[in-house]
Order: sequence, then C-alpha cells, then structure tokens
Amino acid sequence: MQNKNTKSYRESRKPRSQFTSRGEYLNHELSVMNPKRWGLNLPGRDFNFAFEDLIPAIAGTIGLTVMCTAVTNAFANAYGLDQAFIIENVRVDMLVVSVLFVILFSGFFNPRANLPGIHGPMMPLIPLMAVSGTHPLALAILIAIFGIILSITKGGSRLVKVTSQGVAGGLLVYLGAIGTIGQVGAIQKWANGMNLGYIGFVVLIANLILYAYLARAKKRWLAIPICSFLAAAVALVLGAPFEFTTSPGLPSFNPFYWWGEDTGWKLGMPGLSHFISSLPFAILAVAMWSPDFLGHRIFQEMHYPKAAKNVLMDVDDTMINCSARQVTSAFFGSGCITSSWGTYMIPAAIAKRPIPGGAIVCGVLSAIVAVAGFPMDIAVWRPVLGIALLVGVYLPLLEAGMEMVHDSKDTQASGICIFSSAVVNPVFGWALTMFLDNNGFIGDKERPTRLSIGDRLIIPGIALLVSTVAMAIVGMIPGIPPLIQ
Amino acid sequence: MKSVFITTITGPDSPGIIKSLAETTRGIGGEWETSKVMKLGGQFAALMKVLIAEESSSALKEELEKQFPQLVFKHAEVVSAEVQATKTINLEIDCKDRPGLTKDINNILANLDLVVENMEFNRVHVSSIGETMFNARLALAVAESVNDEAVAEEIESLSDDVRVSVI
Repeated sequence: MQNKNTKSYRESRKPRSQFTSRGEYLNHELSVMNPKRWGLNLPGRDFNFAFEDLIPAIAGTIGLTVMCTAVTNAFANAYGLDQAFIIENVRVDMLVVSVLFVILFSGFFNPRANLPGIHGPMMPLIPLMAVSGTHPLALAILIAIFGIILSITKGGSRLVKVTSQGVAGGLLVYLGAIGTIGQVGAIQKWANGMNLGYIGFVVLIANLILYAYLARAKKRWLAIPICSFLAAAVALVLGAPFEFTTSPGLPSFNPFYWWGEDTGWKLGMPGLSHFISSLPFAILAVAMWSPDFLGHRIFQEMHYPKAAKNVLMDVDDTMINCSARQVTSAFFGSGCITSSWGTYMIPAAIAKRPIPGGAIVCGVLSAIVAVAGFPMDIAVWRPVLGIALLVGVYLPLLEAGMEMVHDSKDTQASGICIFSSAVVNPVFGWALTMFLDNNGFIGDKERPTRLSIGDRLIIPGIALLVSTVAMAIVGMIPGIPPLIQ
Repeated sequence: MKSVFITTITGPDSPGIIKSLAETTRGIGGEWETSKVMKLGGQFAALMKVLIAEESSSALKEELEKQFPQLVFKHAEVVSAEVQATKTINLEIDCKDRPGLTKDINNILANLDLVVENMEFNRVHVSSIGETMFNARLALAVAESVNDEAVAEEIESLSDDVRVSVI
C-alpha cells in the first residue's frame, strides 16, 4: 500500500546536514521517496544517488558477470560450443540487460521492479536441457509467457503455497547436491589436468574455511566476490597458468547470427519439438521464481524503515521485468535464465538504498565490464567459476533445502522428491511429489484438508500431466522411446 | 428456559478429551450446538456453543472446571451479528522467521477483540543470505469502529523486524 504523501520527493527531502547520522539520512530518503510505477523517474526529481549505491552496484555487477558467465559456460559445454562463443554471448546478455532492463526499466521507468538477474537453481539442469533438446529461445519465450501470466493473476503466493516445505526442500537438496559434487569434481579435474592436483585441493579448502567464516559472521552475501577473489589469488600464487585473452569490443546483436543453423548457437530457429522439450523446464523455472521474489521483498522490507512503503520491490512488477528481459535477451542471442537479482537486492537492502540509483550505477558498470571483456576471462577461469558457483548457488541451495525440512513429514516428502528426481529428472520429481504430497499420499496426511481443490488437484495435476506428457513426447522418460521422432 | 453461551477451552491435548468434555456436558443436560476444535503441538483449543436449561448452566460450568482441572475455561455470552456491525480487514505480515513466531502472532490476535476469518502462512528461504523469511496473510473480522492501522501497529509491536501492511 502506498503512503498518501501529497508532497513530492524534492519538497520532502532534507540535506544530510540536518541529520545526526548517515543512517537517519538514508532512512529519511527511503521514507520520502515515491517513485512512479510505469512512468518516467528522473535523478534529482524522483530519486538521488548516494555513495552507498556503489555497494549493490558493485556486488550486482560481480554477481551478474560471474553468474551470466557460468550459465553460458554450462550451455556451451552442453551444446559443444567454444570459449569465444561464451565471451561474446555473455557480452550480449550483459549489454542488453544492463541497458534495457537495469538502467531503463528498473532505473527510470519502474523503480519498484527489482533487477532481472540469473536463475541459479536452474544451472544444474542445463546439461539435462541440452540432452532433451531444449532450445534457449523456446525456453525463454515460454518462461516469459508463464511469468506474465503469474504476474497478471498475482499467483506468486499461491505457487509458494502449493509446494510444501518437504517437496521444496527435497528439490533444493537434490539440485544443490548434484551441483556441489559436480563443481568440486570439475575443479579437481582442472587441477589434475595440469598435473597440479594440489592447487584444486588448496583452492577448495581455503574457500571452505572462508565460506564457513562468512556464514558464521552473517556476511554470506559477500561470498561471491570475496571467495572468487580468493580462488583466483590462491590459484595464481600456487602457479596455475592464466592469461587475459579478450580485448575490448562489442558483440553481434543480430538474432539471425545467434539463431542461425551454422552460426552462434548453431541450433537454428526453434520448432514445435523444441517448445515441447522446453516446456517442463519453463514450468519449473517460473515455479521457482515465487519463493525467491517473495524472500527478496521481505528481506528488503525488514531492512527499510517502516515508513518506506513506496520504495519496496513490487513482486508482480519484477515478474514483468524478468519476463520481458528473458524474451528480449534471448531474442538477441542470450541463453541466460533469469530471476529476481539477489546479488543486487540483498546488498541494496543492507545499505538502505532504494532500487533506482544503484540500478543505474550497476547498469553502467555491467556495460563497461561487457565491453571491456577481460573480466569475463577471470570469471570463466575454472577455479573462479567453480568457486563462484559453489558459494553463490549450490551450497546456499543445499542449505536452503535442508533448512526447509523440519520434521518427519517433510523428510518423507523430500526423500520421495529426491528419489523421483534421480529416477527421471527434478522437474518430474517436483511435479510428482507435489501432487502426492498435496493429496496426502506422502508426508503430511492432514495437508489436503488445508488446501483448496485448485491447490490440491488442479495446479499440481496440470503440472504433473503437462510436464510428463511433454517429457514422454521428446523421450525424457528413461527407457521409453520418444513419442515423436 | 434454555440459555446459550460460548465456552472457550484451552490446555494440553490428551486422547479422548473432546469426547469426555461432551459426555460431561450431556450428563448435565446440555448439548453443543456448534463447536470448533484446533490442535497444535500437543495443545488444543476448542470453542463450543452450549445450549442448556438456564438453571443448569452454572452447574455445568462448575462441573467442567472440577472434572478437568488441567484445562482453562472461559465462558461468554453469544453476541449476535446485529448487535455489533463488523468489517473485514486484510493484513500482510512480513518478518524474519523464528521458532514460536506463529504462536506469538496468535497470542496477540487472541488479546484483540477480533475474529480470525482466514490465516495463511508462508516461509521462504533466501539462499544468498541463508535466512528464512516469514509471510502471513490474515483476514480479520473486527468492529466497524476499529482502526485498521491500530491493529497493524499492535501486531508490529511483536518485534522490530515485523512489518504489517493493510492490503
């Protein structure tokens, strides 16, 4: 609910000198700001910059660079594409996102929408997507459609409700565990490949200690930049070879290049089978949006003063931003899967800054990194990439999953979710256990009594039916040949 | 002449406790017109609309308290809807999750003159900081004269990180 403040931001704001502390000044700024949703917001008139904006801007830029590189690297490995593809494709994503959706959308036209970042939990599924014939452009179109539907129907909180703690916990534990084991193995393989196996071990142990300390000190939001830096420093000091190879430049923004038969992704334009195989992953990606979005909004609200109602992130507007970003960046050639940008929002909330000022700085920094290119050489370097994924995505997922499982009812549902995810894949695991759990066949027998027919039968039933049929059509059910060749 | 009153019972749950309460009520000639029972964490709370002959009303109250000393009984008159006009207010509560939070919210609501029409809780984990956030949506029936913001402020007094919005 918006405050009914008739005075404009310019009339209401006071200079820093009128406050006894910096914290009071920042709280006052948050309380008097009233940015327009879907209107032009200008610096000086509707918001201002403060040096604290650099905190989310720098953290967000590092987060985007590392995560965008990680996703593109995973796609490139899965689709057999080279490093030159990774660097150019990351540049496309970072430039399109930073200019159109970070600076213009969240900075100027709707500062109630959080920035659209990278969807970490989907990363372990990328090899599976490649095997099942998922097309990044088809996936992006479907995610955008589902995201807009979710935003218009305001179904976010409902989606949180239909997936129980046990099922969500099992899904996150499975994704976190396979990702953690995979990245530890990848770092060790990289080190062993140079006959310098001890480097991998030392990089992992050093970061294990640092990550544990950051978690204990409740500074885990700093894990990606600090642990990535430590990984690079340790690997370099111990003699791992590294060189900058990327020079400044601009990538191609021609969709026909990126989606050509022999250029870019070498996949061509998506066809019907691509949409069918992308469908289960799109459903899961959007289903996993809601907890992220809600969590970011609540975290922000808790760190802002109570009067700062007008600058709070709007979950539905952020979904629109993410949906628009997803389809637009994919149109220009990116394969990144988006979600609410946590590495921006968490530091912004802690620094008590609203979205727009930091978003503009973050957009400018991200664009500079994309054009400069050389930071991507570091981000794609195996020890940095692996550690960033471990501390930024997989370990937090694993911990989140474990924390969600409170009692024996939850453990039963999470166990079945992990089992069925291993048998087919996590999309099937989630859809099947959600259906069974919501109808009292596993886990909490009382759960069906607390749910409506829609939450018990219709939503989980449709999710299970649609994803299973789609998987059967493209041959993703083990041992069953594709229904359509 | 029959009298009608509302009895609220709270205390530790035990097997057959509801049945025993019903039997005691019937033994003195009373009956439960409607009842609502909620059980949570080994405790239970029950609301009974009791119908009984006016002269037996006091005896029933005494007998219940005598036979079930471990339970707390509160008796109140039935307030008809016509007497007090009500409205529904919708609130959203956001805060950091912690053990006993829902119990604390329920305690605050119990002390306010309102009826909880609907209550939904969600807990979401913010993986990048390793903390769980709590979100609740409440629909509360309150008297027309009650100020929405006053109810919100009362719930916000729970702790510094609690934010309540009237939606």
